[in-house]
Amino acid sequence: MQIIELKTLRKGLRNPPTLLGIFLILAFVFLAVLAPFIATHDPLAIDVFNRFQPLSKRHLLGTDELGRDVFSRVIYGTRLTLQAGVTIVGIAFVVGTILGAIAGFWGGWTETLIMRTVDVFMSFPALILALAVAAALGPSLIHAVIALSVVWWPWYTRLVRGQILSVKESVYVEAGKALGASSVRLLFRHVLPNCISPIVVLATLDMGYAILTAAGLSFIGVGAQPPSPEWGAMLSTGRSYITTAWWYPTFPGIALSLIVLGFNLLGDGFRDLLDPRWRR
Amino acid sequence: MIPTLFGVTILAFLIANLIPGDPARLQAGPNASREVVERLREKLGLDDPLLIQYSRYLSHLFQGDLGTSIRTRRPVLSDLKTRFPATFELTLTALLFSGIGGIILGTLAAVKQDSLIDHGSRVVALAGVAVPSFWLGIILQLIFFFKLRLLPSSGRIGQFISSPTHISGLYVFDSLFAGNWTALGSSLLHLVMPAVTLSLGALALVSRTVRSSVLDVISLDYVQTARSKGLRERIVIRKHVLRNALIPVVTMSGMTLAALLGGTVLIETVFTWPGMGLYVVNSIFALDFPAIMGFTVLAALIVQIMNLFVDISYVFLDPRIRYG
Repeated sequence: MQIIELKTLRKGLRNPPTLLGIFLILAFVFLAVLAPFIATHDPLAIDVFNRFQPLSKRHLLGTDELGRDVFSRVIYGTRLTLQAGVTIVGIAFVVGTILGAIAGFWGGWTETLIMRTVDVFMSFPALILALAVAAALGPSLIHAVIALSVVWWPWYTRLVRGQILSVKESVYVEAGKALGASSVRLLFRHVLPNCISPIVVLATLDMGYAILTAAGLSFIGVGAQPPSPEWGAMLSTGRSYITTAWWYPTFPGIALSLIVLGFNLLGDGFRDLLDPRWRR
Repeated sequence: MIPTLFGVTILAFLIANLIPGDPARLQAGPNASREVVERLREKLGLDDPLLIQYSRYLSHLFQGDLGTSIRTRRPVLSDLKTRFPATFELTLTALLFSGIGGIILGTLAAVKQDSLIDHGSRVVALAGVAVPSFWLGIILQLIFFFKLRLLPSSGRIGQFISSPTHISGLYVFDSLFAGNWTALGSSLLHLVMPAVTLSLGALALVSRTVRSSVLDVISLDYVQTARSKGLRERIVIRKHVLRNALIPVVTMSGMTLAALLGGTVLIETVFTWPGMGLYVVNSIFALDFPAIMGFTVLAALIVQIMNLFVDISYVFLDPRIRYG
């Protein structure tokens, strides 16, 4: 299964914004994996004698209200953020694609049922529905991630179903059918591989939104709880100390913006490669 | 739309029944005796089968009864009613900012393709989507309130200024109507930062959509015709290009409103804006589920109504569309 041709891929890689996106994401993955080696302090270590220390050689991004090292916390927060994003989009991708494939390929009352359910989920603002589910489950990062997965899948179902409807009637699928291929084989060997590229674009662009929304839930208080070094939770506590320690809420926000920017640039790059309409 | 709204109520009901805790215990308070809790459970009908509980919930909903808030001990609907104008004022202003700003920016970017404006608009669009609104709000507060002392950082109106007589509940409109200039100035100043913060993400999306659809339309034959009959470029863009290019903006306005409504929860928290978003955030910590679910259902209803308006407005925008 080849999503894009190598030649197009090489052309896409010469696009500076896409390159910047790839660089940003690789950098954050690198930080997340090597967090214990890069962080200068234990992210949870409290040092009350060194509260609100400004940026220095010892504390690169200063310290917070309990004397914890902001730099180390931001670095460790990368792990939580990436895990949350990958989990939300991963679950939505798998569940959404399966349901979309069922709806598009088999049709009938199953399709009606699935698409009606999609309509219901999509009529809520995503953040508000996720907020309600997370509140019902009780505040924790895992619950926020579950809540967001519950909210996220319908977009994939709708996209996949549309793709399948347009691919289903192609000559090569007809040919496969005429040759006696089973419907499962048709779906997995012929239909799905030809639908996959827009789904990949959506998933890449979505990583940014999923990360932002998860951080938003933590900011409100239904996601990660203190003392977790999750960026949204850090912002939530840090904003009360903005006049004493501007660095405290500032840097988690910059990290959040950069990681989302990375995924958006990469997603835009993918889309430009796959959809010539956007190439100007 | 009607079946979807039924689905909305089913989903809301299911979520409310997901609560791991005991609603009767929650409502009775932690110090209530077992007997009181049991009696309340019976009174609330929590022992009935789910289907019966759902139909009861639905019939209450139809009578405009969203339940009683556990935190404020008032009907959720009247709680939401008193906070609705604040959220409406904020969302409407943000919708105007993002709509007008996005259309101007997107059109300029398309007309002067690959110019400095075009690149600038691309940067704004990228930033608007990537920068978390709640963080931007905090940073703007730091600069414009704590450092420069230019703009107020919380609330809808100055502490020592009485709010204008209630007409619509929108402070800007009400004070304008009453000719109360002090209140008008103060409420406008209070509105600037929250509305700008809330609108930035939507502005980014609108400007990108407008840019690409203007580029689509501008190369069509009828635009060439308009130009060759000697119309000035400004007129061509405003009267001929934009009218068609703006249809996608109308299409996405339902989605935009949903995003803004979700955003109010975050922005109202940052700016202590006394609307429905702040109400629901405070309800979460009190485990006030009637309030949370009431707001959730209302939000879905607002989005559905907006989508209905969008569908109707096509008739006016595109004469080819007629609903039989």
